[in-house]
Amino acid sequence: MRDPYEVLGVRKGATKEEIKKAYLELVKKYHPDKFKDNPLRELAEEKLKEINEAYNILMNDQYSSYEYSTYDQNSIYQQARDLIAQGNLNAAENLLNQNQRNDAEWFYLMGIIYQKRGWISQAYRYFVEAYSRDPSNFEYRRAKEQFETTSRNYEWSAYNRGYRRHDDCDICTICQIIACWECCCDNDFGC
Amino acid sequence: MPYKPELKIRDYDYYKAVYCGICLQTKKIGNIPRIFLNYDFVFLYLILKEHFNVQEEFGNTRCIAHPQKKSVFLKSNEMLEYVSSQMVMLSFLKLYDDYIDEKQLVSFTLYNTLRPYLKKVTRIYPTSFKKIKELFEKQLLLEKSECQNIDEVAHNFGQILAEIFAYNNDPKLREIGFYTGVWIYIVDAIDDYIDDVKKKRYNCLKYHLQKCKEDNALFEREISILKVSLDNYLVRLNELIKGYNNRLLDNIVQLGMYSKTEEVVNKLKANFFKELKMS
Repeated sequence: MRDPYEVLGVRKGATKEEIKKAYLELVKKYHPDKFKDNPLRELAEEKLKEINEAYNILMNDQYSSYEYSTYDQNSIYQQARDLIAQGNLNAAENLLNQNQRNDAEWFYLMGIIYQKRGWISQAYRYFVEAYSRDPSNFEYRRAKEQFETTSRNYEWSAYNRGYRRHDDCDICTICQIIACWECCCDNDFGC
Repeated sequence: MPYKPELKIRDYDYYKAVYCGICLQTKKIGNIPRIFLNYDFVFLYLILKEHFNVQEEFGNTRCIAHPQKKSVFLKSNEMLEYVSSQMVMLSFLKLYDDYIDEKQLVSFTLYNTLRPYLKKVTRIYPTSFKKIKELFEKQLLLEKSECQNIDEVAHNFGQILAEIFAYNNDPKLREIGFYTGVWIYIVDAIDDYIDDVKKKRYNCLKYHLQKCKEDNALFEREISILKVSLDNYLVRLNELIKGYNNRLLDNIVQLGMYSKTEEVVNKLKANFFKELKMS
């Protein structure tokens, strides 16, 4: 559902008087009687239904400003997710940048955008931020660990194929030095 | 670039033969460009050769660097020709870049001596030269504007290599070039970091590393982010190369590049606090 303030065309946090005034005007405008033999009639009815719903929500005392703020926030994240799903990464990034927040979901969604673009280090950085803000969230953790597992597997395969750390043992270091030295002298433009 | 302790002797000999082959091929363009010879282009040749299944022939020759013994070299073929001309083109643009960037006399003179050779090359590949030049200019712009996004600068550099690798506009080669370029750029940035900071030059890691001058934990975190991202880039490269089933290429990507990453990261770790405390 759309933001009720937006449906009625009033500013956020408007008083009840203002809301009522806007509501009455809209009802007049979309009243079905005005569209008697008009093909737009159905559309107008739908619109009126939406207006009524929005009005009821806003007139209800329980719809406090706190609820409004979370509603607003979630709808932005939902919109961003939808845009990402459609593949419209630039629009999603713009939306998030216009609503900069310091919470985990914000960082997570930015991470997803960059991951889709293939910007690995930026994406991983965002996922790390998201995870540090909310370590209990499974989605954030999985996104972050996915990168780490890839990295670990790669390291592991290198060790399996014979790569040894330089500080493993002294003999190894000596061998390495000999190998390096030999490498210098062996190539065509070395010593 | 290959990891020598795990390299077979015959692979190593082959590697050297390709190197000699590129050198001799470049001689046809001119003697001066031969000074730019480097091992990175052997990697390019190996990939092109595997991708197009080139038939190779070898020969024996004496070379100026080692007149006392005969060495095996790879006889000229279509790919070798391409590789050597790309090498000339790239080193030319690099010099141009250095010249604009640092206004050094050395690079300027080299740039001018190389100029006549360049014409021979660009005549054969005019569109790719134009594209690469544009990307080089964009790279310069990004560095001048102190771009803080590691991926953005590295990806632009990756595109340069993608253009060079993409013989016949092949999409797979393009991708291989891209990941190779990104990896090279980030590894070089880590390698040069301390030097760059001392000489107040641009480095794409500055923004992230500068703020952890005093904080060891933050530094460790930044380094692990870098390491994980580099590994992830390399894994993608590895996926692309696996299909070729070439022992030498596997060695380069799975061990050579891995050990190089490890080496530069360890070097930075060892020197970061020691060196930068003074400055």
